[in-house]
Order: sequence, then structure tokens, then C-alpha cells
Amino acid sequence: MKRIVGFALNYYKIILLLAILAVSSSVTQDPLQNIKNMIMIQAPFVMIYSFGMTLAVITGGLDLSLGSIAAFSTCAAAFLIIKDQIFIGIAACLLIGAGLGLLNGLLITKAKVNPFIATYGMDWVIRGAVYIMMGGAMIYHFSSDFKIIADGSFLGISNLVYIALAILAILMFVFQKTVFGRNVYSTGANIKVSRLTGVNTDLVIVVVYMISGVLASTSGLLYVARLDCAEAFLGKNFGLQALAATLIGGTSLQGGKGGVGNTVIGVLIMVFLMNCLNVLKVSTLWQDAVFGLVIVVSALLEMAKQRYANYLQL
Amino acid sequence: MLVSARHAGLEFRGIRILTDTILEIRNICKSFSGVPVLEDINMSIKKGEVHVIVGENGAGKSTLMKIISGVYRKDKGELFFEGEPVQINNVQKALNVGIGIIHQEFNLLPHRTIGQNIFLGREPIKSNFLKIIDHDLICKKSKELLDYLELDIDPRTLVYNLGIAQQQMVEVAKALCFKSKVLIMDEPTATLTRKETVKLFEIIKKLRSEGVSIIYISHRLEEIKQIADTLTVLRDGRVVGDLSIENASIDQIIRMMVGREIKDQYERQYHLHGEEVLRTENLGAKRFSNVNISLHRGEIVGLSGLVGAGRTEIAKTIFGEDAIEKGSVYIYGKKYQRMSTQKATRLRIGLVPEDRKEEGAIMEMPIRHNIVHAVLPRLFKSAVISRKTELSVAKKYMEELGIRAPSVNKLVKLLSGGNQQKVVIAKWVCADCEILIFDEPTRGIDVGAKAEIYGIMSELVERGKAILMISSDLPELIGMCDRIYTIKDGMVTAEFSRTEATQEKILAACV
Amino acid sequence: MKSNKYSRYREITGLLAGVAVLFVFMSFAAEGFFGWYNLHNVLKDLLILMVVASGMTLVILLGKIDMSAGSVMSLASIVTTLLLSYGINIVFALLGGLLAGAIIGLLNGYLVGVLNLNHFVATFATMSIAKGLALVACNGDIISSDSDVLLFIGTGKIFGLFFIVWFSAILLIIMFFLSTKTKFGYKIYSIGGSEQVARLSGIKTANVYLVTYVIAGVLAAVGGIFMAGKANSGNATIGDGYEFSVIATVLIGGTPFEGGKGGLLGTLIGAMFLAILKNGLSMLGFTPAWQYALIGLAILIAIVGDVSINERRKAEEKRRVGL
Repeated sequence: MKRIVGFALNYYKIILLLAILAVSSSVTQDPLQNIKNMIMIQAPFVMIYSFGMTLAVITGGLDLSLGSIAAFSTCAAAFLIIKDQIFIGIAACLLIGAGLGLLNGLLITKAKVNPFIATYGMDWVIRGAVYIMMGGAMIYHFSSDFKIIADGSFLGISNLVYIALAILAILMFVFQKTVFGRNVYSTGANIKVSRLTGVNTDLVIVVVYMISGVLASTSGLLYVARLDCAEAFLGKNFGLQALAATLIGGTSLQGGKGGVGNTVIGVLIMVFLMNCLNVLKVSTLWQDAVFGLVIVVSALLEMAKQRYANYLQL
Repeated sequence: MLVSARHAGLEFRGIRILTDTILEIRNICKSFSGVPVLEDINMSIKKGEVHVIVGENGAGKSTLMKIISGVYRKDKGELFFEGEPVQINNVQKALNVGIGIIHQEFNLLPHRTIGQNIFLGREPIKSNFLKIIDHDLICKKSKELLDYLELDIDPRTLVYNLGIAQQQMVEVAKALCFKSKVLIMDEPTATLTRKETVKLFEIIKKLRSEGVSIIYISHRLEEIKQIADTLTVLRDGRVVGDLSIENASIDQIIRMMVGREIKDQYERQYHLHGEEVLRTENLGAKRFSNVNISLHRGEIVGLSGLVGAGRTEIAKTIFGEDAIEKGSVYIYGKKYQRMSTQKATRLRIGLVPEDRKEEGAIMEMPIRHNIVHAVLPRLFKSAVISRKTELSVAKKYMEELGIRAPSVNKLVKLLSGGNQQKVVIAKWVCADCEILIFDEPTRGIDVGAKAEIYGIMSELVERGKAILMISSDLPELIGMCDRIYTIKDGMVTAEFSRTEATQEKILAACV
Repeated sequence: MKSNKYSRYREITGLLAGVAVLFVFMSFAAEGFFGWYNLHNVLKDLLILMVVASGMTLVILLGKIDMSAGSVMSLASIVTTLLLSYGINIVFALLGGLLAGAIIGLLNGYLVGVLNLNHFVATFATMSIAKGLALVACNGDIISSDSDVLLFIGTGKIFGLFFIVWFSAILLIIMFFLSTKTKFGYKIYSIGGSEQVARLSGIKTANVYLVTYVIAGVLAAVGGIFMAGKANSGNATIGDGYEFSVIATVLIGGTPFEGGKGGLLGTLIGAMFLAILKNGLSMLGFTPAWQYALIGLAILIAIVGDVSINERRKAEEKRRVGL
């Protein structure tokens, strides 16, 4: 019994993933095509902004402003990109993302606002700014030079996958192999010890939120390129979905644990789950409720896992 | 006086009967995660006596008290109250039986009034319907209790506005309000001034004369003579002696507490000191002012003082965690008026903090991460961590400091207290610190590990490092230090050299 | 020794002065602001906000938060109108709405108080669960109602004042009484002050969490029903982001996140401030998008202000108490 519980708690992510896949595959006519679609087209977007969330969660905070950062930066950039100034547009987009992330970071470290409230509030303010900027309009029909970023493929694999994998590789390297990455983890695990060991924890946190902002605008940009349309409602669900993916992936809210690698699995679970509901003809209106449930369930699983670990120790 | 006591809801059983046992403790055992903390404790508390329990840090005094008052559960053993066996498995039960406790750390809500705090959790109600609180009764009863304690404060005052001694009195009032027959006081004078202590002793005597038994825990041996009737000495979780106070001498008590000759543990060689590495000039910040101290290579300098005197704050200000408000710090002769923890670590200063679980080491991370934590930017100049180098460095220092663990990958939280402390020290030794600040380095550590830590400190100063040591343990301070500064209310009151320092002189300068 | 009482009064008078200044400014600057018709409406909005905020105040006094308040409003409005559309008696429809709030509150209380989950994330999750359920229940549409009673709840008047005003006033008096005079209220303040101290004093903390979150859920549901009454229809987006205004109301009113101090009186003034600001901005001719951003900014500033003031006060306290 003990071994079964231990096994289930250690590998629940894989079990979950397989279970969901089994259900969706049994319903769809062409399961392989379906899986390919999910991995090639849906997962990369979610992955990129979920990485941002994961990094913020590792520092012991979280970033609920991902969606509005994506919307604001891409809408602003769209004004440039539509005039065929693609590179300037992309650069501007990423810069704005970093700038808004900087604001988040400063609110958290200097004004000492709780990360939850700070980023939730920023989400509200930035979203308002997008509405003002767009005035209810949309920007669409971009040049094909821009759209190719998301639409193109190489060796039969979508560009999106390459971009997501490249970002994953960079983040894995930075956060597993460098001094900065180590400091991020130690800051998340215990900010006081880290500060008393000479780590500039404020800087660490600010930089992480900037990275998170850049990742949000990157995924926003890819969405715009893919949909060929920039609008104020972009990314309404980013924060919620990213939080769900991060938590179900096994990155703990206590900070200092988990990583972007875990989030890859978390994102796959989320994407497969959404797809599964889709093929089961469950209304998309269920999305919000499902995200919420996933968050609760993963928090509970995390707790169960910890209790079990403590129980084993005693 | 008795009239007012009765008004305050106190029922005493009349005259003081010293032969009557009120609380009997039999064969109590307790262990935390396999480590025995209390073994076979037997003790009996008589009605209307002041029973003092002494022992070194980690002797198990607080644990025993927490068992009696229902905070912890005992593993084995029995408790008898007024001759009847009792099961005390939560705080409420203890209070109902008549055992009250004043914890070392206060249990008051700063933003509620004195009255609300005294009656916390059992406020009188006007009617059962809706449970409306009888505010006037709270005020009236609290006022009576405060009068009884000769405290002239409005019970509607917020606790936040009280001084520490007054807060202590509110704690006493809270315990009295429960009609406690046994009142446990865990180091109540640790934060009091001499005048306030005298006041507290008067209250204790008054309570004793009315039949309340008091279990009194203290480190301060000199005050024991003043109030104790009987004395129990604990050492390493066992009772090593019951004494009646008339035929106990301080020396005898100390010998029983320590269980060995004090001199043995501290092996130090004294050399001529090197150049000055640290000096503060009129340093002032939140809780201290005008502090002038100096530290040389090859020297251990002690800071002595009561809890809350400002010792830790001085250390944290030098280390850059708290801001300097006045004055300056000279490090290697260079003047600094602003410090930060980053700057301090770059200047090769290390802090071994008081609270190693919250501030010393990252409990959830493996030993190797903790050991190389401070040296990371210097060890890996390219910013990329090489796992091989990290492992070899961590292993080297793990061996050097004698950290006992199966591997460097073990999580720090799974180590014993002594080994955790050694990890914290290893972090700074690994970063090659020239100036080390040790804040209560041996608190809550077993005797063997203590000796090892003393050994590490001696070796460090042999190698020309400088150590600033904060400790409440006077024998340890006298045994280890070349010089000792005493701190009182945020000011340096005296400086003693190794040869002139005695416990009495230091204590006199601290209180 | 009376300084503490004095400072609390001073804090509240300071807030009131701020509200007065804003009121006078809006009266002169915004055309149509100062007039019985508009002010009566401001009063109504204020009290809806206040009803929800009074539940939130209790939660924040506990040192926790309830992110699900806005979604519970939406859910309650949908449940009530949906039940009405099935031809169910108005009384049961209203009870159904309240029950929905109570269930979400119970879930919150269980996750936070019994299972000890992080209160932000737990209530954030129940927020999306409640929102999702509302969306599913109404299939994304607006559910209109033809109930006169619901319409009366939202827009009807008694002796020249809105029904909402009378009802909220009674509700608030009960809440005020509950939080300051009863054993339950004392327990909330104690747990918020220090959970450990409360537990050592024998208070069963889990029960208090459960009951408080249920109260907060039911009050949010009341707010949602008011909103549904105003439009005589249910809408799954009615409470979107409302929790944020509610939290800000509590903070502006001087009940800080750390819990254990503050109270409903301050929240009432906070609600005045926010209601006047909202109404005034629209009277000044700001588009909804601008209102959205400006109010968000004002709220964020209030929160940053609250946090920094409290940081300073905490430092000061540490110095005094000697912790």
C-alpha cells in the first residue's frame, strides 16, 4: 500500500497525462494527428508564457499580469509592425514586456506589495491601458514576413516548436547552470538567508519579473502572428492557465522548488485536458472552472506529497 | 488585599501549607524525531512554594514546561494534580485544571486592549443568545487584577502601547485570571530591568503567600537565592538533583548544571593580536547608539548583554542588514557610512546568525548548495556553475569542519542542530571570511557539538581571522573571548579583558 | 495612554476629510453630480459595494483574503435568475442564489482554514470555478427575468429611499454588531492578531475560518442579487473584477492585510471614497476604458500606500515592543 501511494504521488503527472490522452484518443478519429496538432500548435504558446509564471513562482511570488502584458506590448508593437517595421516592432514589444515586468518587480521589492496583489493590480491597470490604446479597434492583415514567424515550418515541424524549445533550452541553462539561476532558487527557498549571504535579492526578483514580462510579450507576439490580428482582449486567460500549468507541473508555491522542465509536463497536461474536453464536446465555457479545479487539485496533491514525505521520514 | 483578590476571581485555599504536594511529575519522557529530550523526569511541586528549575540551554526545561502546560504531548509518564492523575493533552485542559504558563515569548495581541488580552478566549458573555460580550465586566475584572498587581493602567489601553515590563504583568494577570494554582514562569526576568525584577519578585512572594505554587525557570543564578524555596537542576534531559535552597551554594548549582569542570571545553591559545580589522565609531541605529568597539586579527571579542539589549542589532548593522543611522564602521581601516549585505560579503565579513533555521542555512536545499552559497560569484567568475568544482569544494569543507552527513547532497533540514550550525560556519569559511560574527553559535546544540564549534572558532583565530561573538552563556563567553564588551539598553557599559572578566562583574554591567 | 484611541479616530477623521474633499471637488467639477437623483444612485452603489466589502473586511481582519467575491456575485445573479426562468418561486430563487454564495464560501473556508492552502491561490482558484460555473449555467448569455420582486429589490423604493438602502443599512448594523460585540467577532480579531496566540487560548480556528468565509460568500451573493435586481437580469460578467474594488475599499478604510486591526467603520468610509470617485469620473465624461484604468491606478496607489505605511508602523512597533 505504502509503495502504491508513493508511486502514485511521485508519478501522478505522467499518470494524469496518459489518462487524459487515453480518453481523448478513444474519442477522436485520428488520434495521432490530434496529438501532433496539440504539440505543434497549441502547446508552444502556453509553454512560453507558463515559463514566465514558473520563474515567478520559483522566487516565491507569481505573475498574474502575463496576459495584459502580452496584450499591451503586442498591441503597441502592432502599430509599428503593420507599417512593415517588423524588427523595430518586435524589439519594442519585448522592451515593453521587460519594462512592465520591471514595474512588477519594483512594486514587489521596493514598495513591498504582496506579489499576488501587485501583479493582479497591474493586470487591471495594464488591461485598462490597452483598452484606451485600442479604443475597441483591432489591427490585422500583417505582412507575410511577420506571419511566417508563427506559420512557417522547418523539416515539417512548426517554427513555434523550435522557438519554444530554444527558449526552454536557454532557461534550463540559465536557471540550472548559472550563478544567477542558483540565486533565484535560493531567494525563493529563503529570501532572508540569501540576503544575509550577500545575494542582491531585490535585483534577482526584479530580473525574474522582467524575464517573465519578456516571455509574456513573446508569446503574445506569436499569437498575433498566428491569428494575424492584434486586439485588446488578447491573453485574458494567460495568468490563470499558466498558474494551473505551473502548479500541476509540480513547481511549489512555497518557492525554491520545481522548474521550467516540470512546467513542460504541466503545460502538456493542460493542453491535452483542454483538447480532451473539446473532443468530448464539452462547452468551452467550462474552461474557467476547469482551470480553477486544476489549481486546487494540484495544490492538494502537492500537500499530500509533502505529508507523505514527512510521514516517511518519521 | 485578600478582599481584592477575591473580587478578581481568585480563590485561594487559605494558608500556606508547604508539605502538601500539588503537582507530581512521574517518569516523563519526550523525544523529538528520535532524539530524547527528556528522560524519566520525576519532580514534585508543593503547594505555595517557588520551585526553581535551572539548567543549561538545551537541558530540556522549556520542553518540560510545555508538556506540563499542554503545548506538547508527553511520550510516557504520568502527571498527578492534587493527588489525582490528570491527562493534559491541550492548552485548554491545563488551564482548566489550574496550570497557567507565561511563555518566554509573549502571547499577547498588540492591537487589542489589556482587558481583551486577559480574557482572550473566555470572554464573559451577557447572554447565551448571540454570545454578546460583557464589555463592562471585562473592564471591571481586569481593573481589579491590575490593581492587585499594583499596576495603574486603564484596562482599555492597547497592549501595543505598553512597555515590556507592563506586558509581562499583563501576562501574569492573564494567568491569575484563570485561577491558576500552579503558575509557570519561563525566564520572566530576561527582558526586565533590575527595578522591574524587584517588582516582579514582590508579586511572586505575594502569590506564594496566598497559596499559589510557582515554577520558575531562570538562567540567572544570583536571583535564585532571593526567591527560591526548592531547586531542581536539569542536565541533558535528566534531573540531576533536588536541593533545598538553604543548603545549596551557587558553585554547587553550577557544577550540577554543567556536570564537568568548566575550563576543559575551551581550548584556546592566546597570541599577540594582529592589526585592527573592524572598528565602529559612535555607531547608532534602531536600538542602540554610540557604540564604539574594535576587533583585531587573531582575536575573539565577546558582546554580552541581556536579550533585547541590542547585541544582535549591532551585529546586523555592521553586516549591513540594518541601516546605519549614525556614526560609521571602519573595515580594514576604511570608513563606511552605508553598508549592505552584498558589500559586507565582498569585504569578507560573515554572519552566523542567531536563528539558523530562518536566517542561517536554507533548510530545503542540500548541504553543497549551502556551503558554496557565499563563494559562488568568486568561485565561478564566468557565472556558469561547474558541478564538479562545486562538489569538490563542498566535500572539502564538509570534511574540514567535520560535518557528519552521508553525502553533500543531503538536505540541511535532515541534519542535527550541531551539524546544521557547522554548515552555516562552513559557508563562511569556504568564502574565506576575515571577519566572522557569531550570534549565539551554540544555542540549542548538544554538548559534543558545542566543543567542536569552540574548536573551529579557536582554529579560525589561530589562522589570523577575527571573531565577534555574541552569547548569553557567560561561562562560554569568558572561556572563549580575549575581550568582552557589555551592552545594556543599546549602550556599551564596560569592557573587560580575559584576565579580569568574571561572571559577577559582567552581570553587574549588563543589568 | 489614550493616544491609541485618539489615533484611530484621527485616522477615520482623516479619511472622512479626504472623502469630503473629493465630494466637494466632484460637486463643482462634474456637472450633474450634485443632485438628489445622482446622489441617491451613488448611495445605492456605495451600499452594494459596502455589503460585499463588509464580508471581505471580516476575511481581511482574519489576515486572509477572498478573491472569489466578484465571481460569487456573478454566480448568485445567474443562479437566481435562472431559477426564476424555470418558474420557481422568487423566495426559493433568492435562497438559491444565497446558497450558491454560501457553498463557494464553505469551499474557501475549507481550503484555507482546514486544509491550510495558500489563501490567495485557493480563493483565486474558487474565483475561476465560480465564474466558470456561472458561465456554464447561463451558457454565456444574459438571463433576463420578468419578476417584479427582483426588479423591486434592485430599483424599488420605500419612503423615497431605495429598498437596497434600507436593507443594506440593516445588514450593516448587524455586521457591525457581530464584529465588535460578540464572541465571534472577538475571535476574528484574535486570530487575525496572531493565529498562534488564538490557538493557545483555546480558540478553534478552523471553525472561525469556515464561518467567516461563508458569511463573506453570502454577502457577496447578496451584492450579486442586488446587481441582478438593478438590471432585472443575470449576467456572468456582472462581478468581473469587483473583488478588486472590494479589497481596495477595505484597505482604504484602514484594515491592513496583516489582519487583527481595523474594522467596518473604516470600510464604510472607504466605500464612500470609491463610490464617489467612480460616479464622479463617469460624470466628468471619462470613457469606460479610462475609468477602468484610472480606478485601477487609484486602487493600486491605495494598496502601495497602505503597505508602505504599515511597513513603517511595523518597524516602529518592533522598536517599542522589543520583539
